[in-house]
Amino acid sequence: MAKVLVVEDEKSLSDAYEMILKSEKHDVELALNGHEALDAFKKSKPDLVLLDLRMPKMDGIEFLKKLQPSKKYPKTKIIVFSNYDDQQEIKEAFELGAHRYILKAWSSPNELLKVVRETLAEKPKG
Amino acid sequence: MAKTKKTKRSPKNIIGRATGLKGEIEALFSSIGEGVIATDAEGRVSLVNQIALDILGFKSTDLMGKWYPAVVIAEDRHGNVLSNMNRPITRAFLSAGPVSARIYLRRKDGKSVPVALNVSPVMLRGKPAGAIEVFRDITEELALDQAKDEFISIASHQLRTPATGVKQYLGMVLSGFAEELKPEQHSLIMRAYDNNERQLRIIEDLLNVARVDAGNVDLNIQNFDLIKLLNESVRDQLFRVKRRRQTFSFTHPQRQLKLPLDPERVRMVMDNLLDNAIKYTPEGKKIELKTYKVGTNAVVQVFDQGVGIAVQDQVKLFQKFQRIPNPLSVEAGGTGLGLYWAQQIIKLHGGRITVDSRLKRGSCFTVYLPLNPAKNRTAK
Repeated sequence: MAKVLVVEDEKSLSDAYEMILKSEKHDVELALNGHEALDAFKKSKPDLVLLDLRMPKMDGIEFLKKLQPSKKYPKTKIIVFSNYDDQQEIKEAFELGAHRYILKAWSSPNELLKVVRETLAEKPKG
Repeated sequence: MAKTKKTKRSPKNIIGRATGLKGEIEALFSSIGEGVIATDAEGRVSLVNQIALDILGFKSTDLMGKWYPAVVIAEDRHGNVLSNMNRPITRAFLSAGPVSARIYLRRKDGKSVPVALNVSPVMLRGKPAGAIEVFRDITEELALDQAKDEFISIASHQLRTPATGVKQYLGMVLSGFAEELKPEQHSLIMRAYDNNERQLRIIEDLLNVARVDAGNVDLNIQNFDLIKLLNESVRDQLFRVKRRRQTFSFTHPQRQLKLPLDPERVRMVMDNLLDNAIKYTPEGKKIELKTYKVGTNAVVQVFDQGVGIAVQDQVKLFQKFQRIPNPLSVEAGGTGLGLYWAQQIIKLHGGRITVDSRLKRGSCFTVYLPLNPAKNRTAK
């Protein structure tokens, strides 16, 4: 069981991810954009962030730039997910501290849970 | 009678007739609705019509008698100047055959204009005596194409989110999140899930094609072992071969065949070819995969004993949205985009895909990938 922050602006998707993660007893918190995610992150210090890259108000890249996870929160794992598959954006997310990338359209509930398990089991970077 | 014949053959009359003929040719050239530039064997402009002058913003005196490649600069779509060897007119001379291309020509005012052109060598007694280049301004066509590509891209992304939602919820139901399903319920939901997967694959195909058409594909070239790549593709698809009780073989004389390629994209091309072979080959028949080196190319061949493709349909195979009707095509599904995309990706590598097929006998798709793409590109 881990504390997971899901940052996703599409309510029907974030509800689905919440149910999927709760099926493995994770403690799930939802945020609709980067601003909400920064507040939620500072309060709950999650073990894992599931981060959408394209969101209104503050997008995933901006969130990572502000959070500076590799420097300030090296133990937190970050999975970025997107439906745009923009290689430049994904590369930037990895440079800013992301651990994994998922293309939303190709990840079924079981595949998502598998990636979450594997990412949580990884040793912290560095 | 004899007197008349003499008069007709006199030098004065021959010159007169030739002048008249030249006038006729010029009138003919100027009435053609496309830009026309003719050169002599050395590449000096010998004739140019008004439309060509309008497209390029030059005066006739700027071009006539000048070396064409030096006065009118040709560029690719990234603004790189085409070397003389890569210009369609030079390629037409060298190959002694017609060449079609879409390039940019630099106008007199320095702006570049996109053109679709056809250039043919003029042969006299088997030797090139000059060339004729016919071209038209395609600025509006390109703008329309771009608008269409953007529309496809936006529409596909918009479609992807709700389709992803459907996948998650159906996936949860199938995994027993609500309650265990009865076998009939499971089977019905599974059909919905499969159709959603198909929908997502169509969206993916549309996005890939929109990207390649918009020139937004930057290949991630690495020195990669083609045999390893093919083995991985085979490993992932073998269960489908077994399910269809087909026999399969993979032969490669070399143990390793390293060449510069984009592993992810070439893998998708090979997945696509194998997938087609499996889909269009009836149960129990054979599929063969071969890879080897020939000259400056690595060659991959996929042979099947499938339904085959009629000769008149073979040219349509690599065009967008073309699906060839055959006894297995309804069952096989597909968008008619896979082979178009595959051909574009292989072309970006400097290679090509060809097909050889006979109805009811089977098909062979051959992929040529240059072992040293940079060399091959300049040799074009």
